[in-house]
Amino acid sequence: MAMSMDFKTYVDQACRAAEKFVNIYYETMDKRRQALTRLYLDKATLIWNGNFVTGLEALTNFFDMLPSSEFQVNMLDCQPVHEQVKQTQTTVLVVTSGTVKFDGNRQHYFKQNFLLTAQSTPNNIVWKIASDCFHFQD
Amino acid sequence: SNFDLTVYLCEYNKQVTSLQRRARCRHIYQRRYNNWSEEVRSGIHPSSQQQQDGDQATSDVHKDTGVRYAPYAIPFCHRRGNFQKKDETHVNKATEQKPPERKMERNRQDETLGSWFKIRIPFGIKYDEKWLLNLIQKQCSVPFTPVEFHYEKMQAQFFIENANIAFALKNVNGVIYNEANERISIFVEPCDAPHSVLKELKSEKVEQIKLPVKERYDVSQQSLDIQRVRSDPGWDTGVWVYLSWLCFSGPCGSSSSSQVKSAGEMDKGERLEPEGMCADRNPLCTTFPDKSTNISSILELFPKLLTLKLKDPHLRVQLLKHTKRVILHTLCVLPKTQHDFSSFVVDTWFQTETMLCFSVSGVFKEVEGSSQGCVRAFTRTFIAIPASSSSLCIVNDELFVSDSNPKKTESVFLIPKPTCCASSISTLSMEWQAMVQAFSTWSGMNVQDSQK
Repeated sequence: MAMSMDFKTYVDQACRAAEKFVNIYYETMDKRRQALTRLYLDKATLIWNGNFVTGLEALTNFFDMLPSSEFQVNMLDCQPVHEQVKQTQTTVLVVTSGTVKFDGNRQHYFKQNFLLTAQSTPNNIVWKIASDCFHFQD
Repeated sequence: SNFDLTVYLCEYNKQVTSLQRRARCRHIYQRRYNNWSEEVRSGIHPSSQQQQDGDQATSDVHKDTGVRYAPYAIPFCHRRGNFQKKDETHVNKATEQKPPERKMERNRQDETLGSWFKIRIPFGIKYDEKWLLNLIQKQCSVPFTPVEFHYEKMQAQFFIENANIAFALKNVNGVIYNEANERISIFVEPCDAPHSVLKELKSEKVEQIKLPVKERYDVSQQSLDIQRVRSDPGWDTGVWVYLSWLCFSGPCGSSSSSQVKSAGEMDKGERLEPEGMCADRNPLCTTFPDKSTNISSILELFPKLLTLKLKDPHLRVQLLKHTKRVILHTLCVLPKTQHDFSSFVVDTWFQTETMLCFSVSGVFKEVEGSSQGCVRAFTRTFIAIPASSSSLCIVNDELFVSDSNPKKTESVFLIPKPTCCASSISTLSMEWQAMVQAFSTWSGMNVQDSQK
């Protein structure tokens, strides 16, 4: 029934990193919007309430257009993606939900999921968003 | 001696509590006259206050400052991005005469430069103008007249000049849907009057002041007696703005380079980083040695995280199930459910040749147990790989259940045969689409059958 120790450690590490990343994501979204696209891969995709945005330029335009935000995340869940799928890179599925208020608009419940991939650099592991799916929930 | 006509673009960064709306930045025009601060204050939009020495304004748009309303003052402008720029212009002056108190008569009493709103529909470029406006009007509690409807990048935009109407439009956000049953968002924000309106008013104003200006313009001297112009009973302090425009385009006055811009013409490239931000820090490189440092460091850096419940790794171990056998066992012990297929919203949000990621949101009812009859909202996120040419195999499965929105519980648990209401399928191949459809059907079966 229990996970093997190796798997458990693997899950733990991947998920801790993902959680840190997500915290940074929402802070950046709220307070440093202009830096947000740095957290995305060049070919990352975003689906925002059913609308498809892909590529850094389109993402930059989109986040620029979006009014300033105030996110409150109430739930965060993550699990590493099966190794059969992403063999070369550690990938984590992250799901969040909570509330958001865009400036000039009423508060909404939202749900969001990310696919994060870990990219190794000489000094570090850098996590980036490969895919982002955001929905209002009300 | 000369006076300075100074136009300020001020950066304004309002610190608010979490209960208030957070304004990232606002920009207001100010006019400062060295010796005429009183009059100038009266000429400024009522939402702003000015300090004598021209320091950065700290106005609160929601406060009633009790300042006299000047209809033609350059209005309050809400912008994203920060910048600070100071323009100075010089006009040949006369004396310190106060401008007249009386307001100029106007034809359109309610239409002012100060109450314009920009309405933005993200991805509105997909929609025909008439269709979209009709759709919005159907849901909007008050009739509205869109001004300057246009498409900009991927958005549809138009302007509204009444705060009540703007507010009503704000409430239409998220309650209108397109033909594919996708929600359409509407964002509303205060703004300057649109260009077409400004131009129109300008030419009205130009006509109105042409005569007194002409009368006081000395052709031989090529100079305009400002004092005499301003003493004309027809003047309103707000008209000063337009006078300054005229002076720089015409031969009157000894103007230096005229760099007066309306708020709508500001160069987006003029941005500074907001105060207090460390632009050069790459947050992804921060590492934490152990758990305790981890949490307190994060909380230091990001105080808002107090509201984010960081998961206990032990809890995660309990809730994360691994291997098919364990997963199926877990699903079997969940209370029996009946899902409402008509409530399903499916997003196919990522795919490659070897993997498909999609989410299903909707509601279900518990049909047994202590919460029998309870309606819950769920979102299930799947990552699947092809198992054969016509079937999927789930490799990752995430289920999130919450209490349902009371409105949603009114939905009728109808159709036994599920329909796949795709919110977005980007470049999904036919094979994947078929599999998603099949999976949707399969997921309607109860858990016992899936073990076969």
